[in-house]
Amino acid sequence: MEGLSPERKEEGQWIVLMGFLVSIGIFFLALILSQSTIVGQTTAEGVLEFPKNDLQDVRAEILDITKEKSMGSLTQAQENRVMEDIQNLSLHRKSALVEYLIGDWDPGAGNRIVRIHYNNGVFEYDETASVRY
Amino acid sequence: MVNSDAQLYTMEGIAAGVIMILTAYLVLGSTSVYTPGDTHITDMQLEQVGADVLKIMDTPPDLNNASELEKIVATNDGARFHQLFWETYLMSGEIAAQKTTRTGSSIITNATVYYHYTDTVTDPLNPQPVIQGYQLSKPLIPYSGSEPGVRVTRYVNVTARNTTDCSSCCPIPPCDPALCPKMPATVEDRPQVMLVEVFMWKA
Repeated sequence: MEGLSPERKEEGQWIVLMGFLVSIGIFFLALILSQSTIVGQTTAEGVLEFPKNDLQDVRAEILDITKEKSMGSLTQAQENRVMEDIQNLSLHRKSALVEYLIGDWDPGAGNRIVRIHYNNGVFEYDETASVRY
Repeated sequence: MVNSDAQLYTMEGIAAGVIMILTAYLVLGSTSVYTPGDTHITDMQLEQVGADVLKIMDTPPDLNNASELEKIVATNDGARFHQLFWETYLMSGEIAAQKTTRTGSSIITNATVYYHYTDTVTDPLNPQPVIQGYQLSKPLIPYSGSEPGVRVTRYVNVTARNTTDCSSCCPIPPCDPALCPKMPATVEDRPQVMLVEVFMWKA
């Protein structure tokens, strides 16, 4: 290898070094790439698993019954049967335990306490609502 | 002696070019990489749209009127359900549920109504609560079992077991109640809560 100065012998080392750096860069890009698949899936799964619509539906239904009770369009016996409807339907069709208690009208405070309990094994929700009707 | 300096630089240049093209390809591709092969995202969108449509249908126009869904369940009007749920809302251009499916595919729906009653016939001494369902709206194509499907539900208030009012199925009086679809005989005649369950899939 005559004619090569000591400085010129090191040029190959620079090329190898640059190649090494670029390969590390590609490795990190691949890492981000593989993560993005999981991010999309777990986000969608999280949304699917959270019973947002069920909760809103059950809650609206219970408050609706409270309103009907206040207006006197439901007798106590009918109200009990409606509660059985909601509990049995949510247990059998939605595999969720729903319990609620519509309190008596409090003339002093001018409200009524409604307690709602929801549990589908994954998610649990409790609410104590003060209803003004 | 032949000078090989330039060859080395050319090779390095080609290598760098390959790396740059590869990087650009990966970066541009990474923006849409999660869509293929992942049905969860479209499922999530379809479930949300379906739940929203049921919510719209269960919203009464004012305090003195029942919601559309309530009327449909009370009269057991499957044709009206399909017309509203599928045609008016789900596949309308404004809601654009078609976008949650692949091109050329459609959404098929099957609606079932579930109700709760106490069975006093089988064992009169020990009445048992029973959950029973009946089909409200039939799917256009039967479910093959392989398509990913989502289920959306909605609780509906029903004031009574309605068999006489058939204004929606025959608008011109006098109407023959025998011609109108009825609820099953086991539905109790009382104010009750029923569960409308819609199963949706892409076909």
